[in-house]
Amino acid sequence: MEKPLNQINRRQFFFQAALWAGLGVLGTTLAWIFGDLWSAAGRFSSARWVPVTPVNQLPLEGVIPFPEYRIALFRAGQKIGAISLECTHLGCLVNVVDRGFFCPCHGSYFGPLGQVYSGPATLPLPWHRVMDRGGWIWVHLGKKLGSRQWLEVKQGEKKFEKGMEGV
Amino acid sequence: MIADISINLSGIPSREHCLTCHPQGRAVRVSGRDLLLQKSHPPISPHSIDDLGCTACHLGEGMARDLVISHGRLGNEARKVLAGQDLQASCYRCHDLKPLPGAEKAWQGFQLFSTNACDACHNVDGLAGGRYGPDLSAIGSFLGLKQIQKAIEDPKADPKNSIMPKFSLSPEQIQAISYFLKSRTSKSLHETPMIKKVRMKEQARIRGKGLEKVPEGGKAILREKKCLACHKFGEEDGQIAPDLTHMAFMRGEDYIKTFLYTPGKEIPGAIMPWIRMTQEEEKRIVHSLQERGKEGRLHGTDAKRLYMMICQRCHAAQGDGLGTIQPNLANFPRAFWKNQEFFKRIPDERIVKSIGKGIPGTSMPPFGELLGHEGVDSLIHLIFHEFIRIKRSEKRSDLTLPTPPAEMLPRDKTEKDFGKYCSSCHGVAGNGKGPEYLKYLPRPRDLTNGPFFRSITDDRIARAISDGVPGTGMGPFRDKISPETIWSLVNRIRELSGSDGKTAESN
Amino acid sequence: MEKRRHFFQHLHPPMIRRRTLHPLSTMGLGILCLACFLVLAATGLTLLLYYVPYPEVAYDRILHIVTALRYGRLLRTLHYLAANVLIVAGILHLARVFWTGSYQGRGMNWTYGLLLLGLIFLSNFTGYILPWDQTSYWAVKVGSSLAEYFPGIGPSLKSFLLGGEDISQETLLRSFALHVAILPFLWGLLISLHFWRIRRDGGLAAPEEERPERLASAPWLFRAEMAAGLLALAFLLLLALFLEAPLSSRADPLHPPNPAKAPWYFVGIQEMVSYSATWGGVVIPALIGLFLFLAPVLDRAKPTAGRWFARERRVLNFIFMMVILSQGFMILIGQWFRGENWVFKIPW
Repeated sequence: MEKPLNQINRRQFFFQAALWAGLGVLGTTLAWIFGDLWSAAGRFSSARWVPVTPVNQLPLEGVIPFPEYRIALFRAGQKIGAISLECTHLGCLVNVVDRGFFCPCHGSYFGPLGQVYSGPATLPLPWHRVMDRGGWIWVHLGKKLGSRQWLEVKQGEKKFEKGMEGV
Repeated sequence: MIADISINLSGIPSREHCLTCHPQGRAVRVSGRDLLLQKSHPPISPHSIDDLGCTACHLGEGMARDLVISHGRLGNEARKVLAGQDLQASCYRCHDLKPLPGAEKAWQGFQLFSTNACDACHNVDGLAGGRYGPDLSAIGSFLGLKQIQKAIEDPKADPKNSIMPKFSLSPEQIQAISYFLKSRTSKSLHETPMIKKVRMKEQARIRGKGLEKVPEGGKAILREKKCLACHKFGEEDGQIAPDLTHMAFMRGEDYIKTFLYTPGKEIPGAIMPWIRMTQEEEKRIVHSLQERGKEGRLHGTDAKRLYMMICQRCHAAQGDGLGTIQPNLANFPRAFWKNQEFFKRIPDERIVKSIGKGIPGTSMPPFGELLGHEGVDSLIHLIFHEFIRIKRSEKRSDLTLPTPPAEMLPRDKTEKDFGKYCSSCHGVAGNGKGPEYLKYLPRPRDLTNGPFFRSITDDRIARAISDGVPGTGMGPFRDKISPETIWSLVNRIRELSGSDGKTAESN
Repeated sequence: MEKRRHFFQHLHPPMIRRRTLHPLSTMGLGILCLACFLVLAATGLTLLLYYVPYPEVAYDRILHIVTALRYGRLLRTLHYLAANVLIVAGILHLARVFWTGSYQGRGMNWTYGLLLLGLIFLSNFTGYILPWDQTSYWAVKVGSSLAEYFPGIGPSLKSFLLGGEDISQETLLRSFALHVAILPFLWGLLISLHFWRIRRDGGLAAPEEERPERLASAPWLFRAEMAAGLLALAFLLLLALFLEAPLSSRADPLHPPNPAKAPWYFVGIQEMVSYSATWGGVVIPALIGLFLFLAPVLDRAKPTAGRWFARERRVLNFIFMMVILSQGFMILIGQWFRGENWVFKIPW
């Protein structure tokens, strides 16, 4: 005579519970591992410092684009800043124009410090951190800043550097 | 059978199918459906096809096997096949920049790039050039030979708002420069990125030291620092920029030094690039410029001769403002010819002042001391007689100035008005580069030009808005906007240019 | 005597309603979709023999296929045409199902169908990137930036698509993996489910009849399917005579073309985004998606399965018509009426 299905003894219950728990743990672990592998790309950061140009090669006022790094450096006397050239609309490289930046893809126009003058972009151009090391200007690529950051370059009293030691 | 060769010169093997149609590198002619073999490949020892393959020198798309793509005739033709004389453009992709037999034109191009001050604005990796214009370090990978030549020949064809001047170069010289530039590619065939980094750092260090030997006197320093590639001094003339012969005398040492330090400060919108120089070099330049000026003023010279010597360069022999260097100036030289209405509206004192004291913020220098009082007067007579063709005293006085209101309009209304009436020409930021600005010559005024606006009164700005400026695209707005709006816009312009009407003399 | 039935016969019901064989009842759009898919599979597997998903060489490989390989151009063109025809056919098939109300009582299959439509767009987009020419590169740029506008999941979606923060060789590898393996696996799964549900739900939807006329599926259904399939193939081959898969110059990250446009099936969204990022990029596509997914639930009318433009469903039919027309209009504007800097221009 067979036992009715809804009657199991304690041992069977224990084993079944253990089995399901075990499967649950296995399933969750596998799901976690696969989930991690599929979302791994978002955790790799290409942020790094790159040497862009020697300080003495930068004009004393103005904006200089470095399209290979997708940034532009500006200098107003002793202050140097780095701004991203990637349009905040859809990522095209903006052109440096007189007093500002202009995106050739959809006509977004940005002011001299990256502020939005006309759309379709709605966010201002982000900035990057700048550092002065060994006579070169280094820019921190990959990490965009929400606020502006200037670097003060110490150059002493004279207008031009005398016999500049570059590196 | 399709020839499928793999050549590895840059680290990544490139496959070539060229030999399928060009066995042993022979030239081919297509006749109907037949390929007729023509002459064999010329001797190229010590190079050989086995070592280098075909595309290393001839470019083209190795993997393709049709007529169009394989010969690189797509898009900007960056990979367009080079043949005959054009092959020189490939040599310096591998060889160091030294004189090379067989690549004489390319070598000449390299030298022209330097002597004609191309590197003052354009950077090419390793030559530590300026950063004013686009970087040309990899231009060979992006444009074909013909496209590079076109860009030098007619810089303002594309993009239309380019500020690159049209240099006076012969077609052969342009071709030579293009051979040099074509060899500047993104992937180097003869040095690894590491070696390139080291080389560039060393060159930057050497450049930073300035000229090895600073020449003593005369024009030599001006030539070495490439001033004469654009400017005129004495008899040497680059035909791009103003005449510096008397500039130090007229403007003074401080002006010259400020200009060298920051070219766009005294004349906003000037296209002169910043030239890197040491203190020693700067001193020599100023000294050279001053030396010449001491030679004497031009008092007593005949008016016609004066015009030819100093005015023609900007204002043109016809007096229409389209002088030789006009396309390169930030502000259009005033047209005299067919511009009677303009001169009827301005007082005589203003004309005397413009020539005598110059116009701040523009390329018009103060000629007063150089010409003397009688010289200026005779020049004005000449201009009225020959070009403007009205009596110097013929003026109109019927145009009334709108009355200033008691209170200016609120700021956001003025900004809206500016956007509505002014920004299509003068730009959102007021810098004269609105969406329509290329349609007008003279270009819309740069309203952020501090030095210029500091020298003129509020009345004059209000008149310009109300009555328009004859001879330009600025029409009268008196019937379109109210006096309050006009004066509020004057206020706005004062803000944009960072000036106020109090420092200007009444005019 | 009963003939032995084989696999192909087992896939089909033994008897079908005669009405469903009428060309105007389904217009063979489902078979057109299947035919396109089979052409894509065959041509795709062949292209797989010659393609390398590495940015430096991908473009060269396409050149090789198109110019040096015999029939290579035809191969690539067929793949390209079938992909684009599949989008149109898929949408027309969706429209047919919607306007005949055939989804009523078949909510599960409707969902599978919508998922298949999503797969169509994903496969098209990942395939678009593979040649790594200027249009590909900048389409990914635009497309991934559009994806970023989605609230919450946007940035994660973008970094998943790109394989990082920027477009790189990871992007190409991902698109390749998705396009040739992951998505085809999902295709297989969803197509099987889609066909199984048709059987489960009682065959193709047809209006109620007093005495429905039935036919044996062998040979009648098979002949109809064969005819539709061959017509589809003929259509593709005919198109291949006149059209060619485009190829622009090598991808150049430093020089965007002006304007940079998304592929045509996304350019409508790009057009909407140019007016407003939130409304055009997120809200409206989400609303459309929601409307489509919830249609069987929103539909309160009596079952009208199989009848075109039934009056009982006129509200829903009208809304659907508006969706199709407006999106079609957006695509038209974005594709042909936008020039440099996205400025409106008349194309003639």
